[in-house]
Parts: sequence; C-alpha cells; structure tokens
Amino acid sequence: MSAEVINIGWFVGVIAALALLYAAGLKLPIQIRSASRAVTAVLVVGGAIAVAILANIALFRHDAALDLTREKAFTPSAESRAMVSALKEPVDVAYFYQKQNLGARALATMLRQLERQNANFRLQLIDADQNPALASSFGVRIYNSAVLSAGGRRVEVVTTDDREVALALLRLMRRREVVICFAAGHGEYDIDNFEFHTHFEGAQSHSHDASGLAIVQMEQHGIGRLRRALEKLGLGARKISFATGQPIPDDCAVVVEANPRTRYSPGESEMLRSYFERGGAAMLLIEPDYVLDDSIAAVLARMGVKVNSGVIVDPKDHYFTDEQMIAVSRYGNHPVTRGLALSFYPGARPLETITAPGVRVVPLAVSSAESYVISDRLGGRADPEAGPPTGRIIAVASEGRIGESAKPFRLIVAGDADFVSNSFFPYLGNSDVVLAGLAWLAREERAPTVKPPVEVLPTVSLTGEQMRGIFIVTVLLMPGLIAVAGGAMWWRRR
Amino acid sequence: MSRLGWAAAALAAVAFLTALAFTGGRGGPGLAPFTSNGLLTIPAGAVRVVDVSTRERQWLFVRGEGGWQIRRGKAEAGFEERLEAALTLLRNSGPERILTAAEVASVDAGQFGLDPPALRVVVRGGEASSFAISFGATNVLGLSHYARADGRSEIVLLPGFVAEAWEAVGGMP
Repeated sequence: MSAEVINIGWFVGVIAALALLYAAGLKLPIQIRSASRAVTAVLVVGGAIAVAILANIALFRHDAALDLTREKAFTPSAESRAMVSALKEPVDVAYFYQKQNLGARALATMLRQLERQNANFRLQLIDADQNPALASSFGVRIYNSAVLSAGGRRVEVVTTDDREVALALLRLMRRREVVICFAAGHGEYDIDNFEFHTHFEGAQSHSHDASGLAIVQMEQHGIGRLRRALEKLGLGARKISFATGQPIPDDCAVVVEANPRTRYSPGESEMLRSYFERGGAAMLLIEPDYVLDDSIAAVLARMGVKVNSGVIVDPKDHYFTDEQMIAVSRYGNHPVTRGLALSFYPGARPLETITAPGVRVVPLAVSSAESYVISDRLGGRADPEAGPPTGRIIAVASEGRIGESAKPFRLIVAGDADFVSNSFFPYLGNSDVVLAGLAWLAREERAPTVKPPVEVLPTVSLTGEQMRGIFIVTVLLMPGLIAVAGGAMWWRRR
Repeated sequence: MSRLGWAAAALAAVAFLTALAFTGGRGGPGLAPFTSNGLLTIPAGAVRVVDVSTRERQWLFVRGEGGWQIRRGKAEAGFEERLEAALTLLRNSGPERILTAAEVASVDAGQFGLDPPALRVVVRGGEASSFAISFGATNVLGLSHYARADGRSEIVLLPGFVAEAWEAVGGMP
C-alpha cells in the first residue's frame, strides 16, 4: 500500500473519529447532575479542546501529510524514498538552506518526511544566514548545500531537488570506485561532445529517418549527456583505446562501445575476447550500416549473439510518424528491464540469439509482430530481404562463461546507438534503459533505481498508433458525428 | 427586434467596449517608481555630520557652507563624492534579509561579527536626528554583510556594496 494511501487513511480516520464525537455530543446529555451549569460548560469546552489537541497530535505522529499540488512539489520522489528506506547505516545530512528560497523550503519539508521514514537518515536543517559559523565549519560557501556524511566519507550537493540528495546518498554508500570505460579509436560517439540536435533536413520536412536523405544536415553529436548522468551517479567515465595494443584495463567495470565506424582488427577482437574471459562486462551499440568483421562476429557468436544486417521497420509501434524509429513498451524479463517505460530506437538493426555453451541470452527489447526488415534505410516494403512480418530483437543481454576456466562475463548488445546519443538520451525511457543496463553490467543491479534528472523541455510523446487513434477520434469521428446529427435533424424537420 | 432596438443594442455594445477600453487593472507602460528602502531614514541631503570608524581608523566629516570637510582622520582626494555615494546607498539599498530578534537569540550572535563591529557609521542630521549602524561579517556567499542599526534588535543582511562604499570613503575608490 502506498504511503499516500496510508496517510489519507489516517486523515480520514481522525476526521471520522471527530465526526463521531460530534454526533455523540448531540445525542448524549451534557448536563452533569451533580455540577452547576458553569462547571459543566467548562468541562465540555475543556473536553473539546483536549480532543482537538489529541486529534492534531494523532495526525502529526502518524505523518498524515497530504500533498495536493499537481506536481507533488512537497512529496519526496519514489526513488528518494526507496533510497532512504534501504539505508542500513546512519547517514548525517546537514542541509544549509536559505529560508527565503521557496524551492529550498520545499526540499526541507521533503527531507523531514524522509527523516521520519528511517532513523538512519539523521537530518539537520540549518538556516545558512542564521548560522554562518556552522556553515563555515562544514566548508559550505553557497546556499542550499546538502552535506551528507557517513563513516568518514562525505558528499556535498547544491540543490533544491530531493532526487539530487538521493543521488548523493547513492554516491556516499558506494564502497568501490566504478569506472565506465568508453572505447575510442573507431570513430565512436564522443563522451566529451554535448551536441544534441542531429537530424536530417529534407526538402519539405524535418525527420530522423531516410526520407530526408536527399538533403542532409548532419551535425556532430556525442554522448556527453550520458557521461554527465554517470558522473552524477558517482560513476567514473573515461576513454580507452584498443588501438594501443594494451589489454583492456582491469579497473574498467564496464566497456561501452558506442557506434564504431571503422572495422576491428583481429587483434582488437582478441583483446575484447580476453577481457570477457577475465570476467569483463561490455555494452556494444552497433548501428545498422556498420559492417562487423569476422573476428568480432566470432567473439559475439561465442556469447550467443548474432548481429544481422538491415533496418527494422515497425508499422505498428513506432515513435511519431517514423516507422524506422521503433517504440518499445514491452520488454523481456530481465533485471535491466524491470519497470521500464516506453523507449525508442531510431534506425535499429535486427539481432539474433544463438545457442552457446555456458551462456544465457535474453532478448531485452523486441519490435512488434508486424515489423519487417529492409536492407537499407531507403528500401521499401517490397524489399527482397524483408521476409514475413515478425517481432525483431533490438537488444539482448548475455551472461555466462566463455571457457572452463573463464570468469563470468556480462554483455549487452543493441542494434542501435542513437538511442544513447545526446539527441535521444533524455526522452521517454531511453536514459532508464541505458542506465539500468550499465548498472547490471557493473553488477549493481540491486542498487535502487535512481537516475539523475536530465533537463529537457516537457513534451508529450505518442506512438504512431496513439497518434492514429487521436486522428480518428478528433478529425473523423467527432466532426462526423456532428455532421450525422445535423443531417438527421434536417431529415426530421424536412 | 425593431430598428430602434438594434440601434440601441449597438450603441450599448459600443459603450460597453469604450468603457472596457478606458478601464482595467493593467497600468500604462514604464517601471514602478523607485522608493528608498534603506535603513537610513534621514535624507542624504539633510545629513550634517558623519562619523566612520573601523577597528584601525576613524574619520569625522562635517558638511558646512562650502561642502564636506574632514575634521578627523585623513582622506584621499574625492572623498566628498564617495561619502555622498555611501550615504545614498545606505538610504536607498534595503536589507536582503532581516533576522528577527528571536532568530538571533536562538544562535550564537558572536558569529555575525558585530561585537565589536568591523565598521561603524554614525550619521547626524538637523534637529538632533541621528542614525548609527554597525557592519559585521559577511554571509555564506561572502556577498552580503551582517549589520545592526542602533536601537533595533534584529540583524539585517545588507548588500555587500553598501559596506564596501563606506570602507572606501577614506581611501581611493
């Protein structure tokens, strides 16, 4: 049962008890025979005041807080509540805020609620103006700073958002340094690049599919937003290159290969295979037009994954009007996909699972049963490679051992890299997919699901099917009904 | 409806629109008029004597027929303009925050740096009017100064430029 339902229950219970007392007061005689009218009146008034105080104390002690704002501006997020509930050791939180700041006051209210949730969350709310010496002793030099400390470790975050405090809590609780290594040297998406508007400009329209290929505006873009999200989660991010001939460093908790543009050499593929043999974890994001060399294909095959060619077209589940921008709302059963919302993959190639000894492969994201494959982005339905419509695998997770003496590896392969790029990372559930995938690969899947807020304009995103539904209702059905009603009225009065 | 009726209705509509066009809550263009909300209640032009002291130095300025004169301490050239600017800021720039007496009492007041103050300004006008203010430490950001006016129990946070203007009165700007 959610905390809000319980709160409402307490509130309704107290109101019901007061109503009952009121009704009883009307029904029961209030004149005490042995006392005068004045004494009786004093007793009744005193009793009423006592009951009112009791009711207030009851509500206060049972945390009946009802947040009636549309944005739930005074309620901690579910992620924050989960983080605080899971605390097993005491954490001291000192929030140096400015009382004049409405956002800071709202966060203070939320932190108070979190404090009541778990005694290990020990909170101090400090007005920074009123206590400059205390702020100075904490090294605080800016308003609205939350200083979290536990066991000699300390994290400071400047915020008015409870999720930022939850993220700081996550960083504080992490015992080891987790580094995500991004492969470089094959023209991959750059983690230092924050450009985010990559698209095709057609003669008539703006699109992300092949329809605009005649006139193309291709801006440089990267995966800087993903990197920033990882750093907010307290994870390290750095680039590595296979081309140096050095083995993949052991301190890389996960290797991300995001959109390679040049082919791997057999030596580089061997380096990757050796990394998996040592118990490595990797996320490979491979765009449709990338040609895999045989050596890397063999490594993937040993791990139960085959990357097929072509581009998936899904006439049923796609984002906006682009049938190559696959929208996925149903996922395979895996720790990565727990609680995921709608995510979308602009231009994805199909994958295939194959049997491999000692390896378990699970499809993570699959297109609808009406989808088919075309050999290139400009191809049509009549493409000879299309085959019968069926669900196509867009992403898989694989784990196991690739040899008797090998350590257990973890691997995620996706037939698309754009969904991670700055252009698409913040929208719908894309960031959830990536971050959950990296958490699983880093063997932190049990960590609470909390992700850093990514600043984007609020948008309403609909799939092609939903847009068709709206079109039918608003453009066809509603005007049609009015026309039919008008016609019927004319016929009746004729 | 008759022609007369329609004409009356049209006139009523025009009258209604005219009334709406010339009334309403939204005012004309332009900024709201400036009002002084500083702690100094004596108009800057009415100030006759100013006593400025830091922990190390002290100045006494008196306004006579020929303008400001220095009676105690040494000031570099152009102090008259700096003094006028400091007085104007003290009168015009209001507190960013007021800590009430109860708020001050609940914490260690020593941390505000007002006992003794880093800078003290005493202003006297005509007809025995006077005003005194003490400036203390800076806030967390280092951009505002704690200050207390004599006779008032609350402590205020004044913008940093007010105290800086007074610090600069004796020396170069």
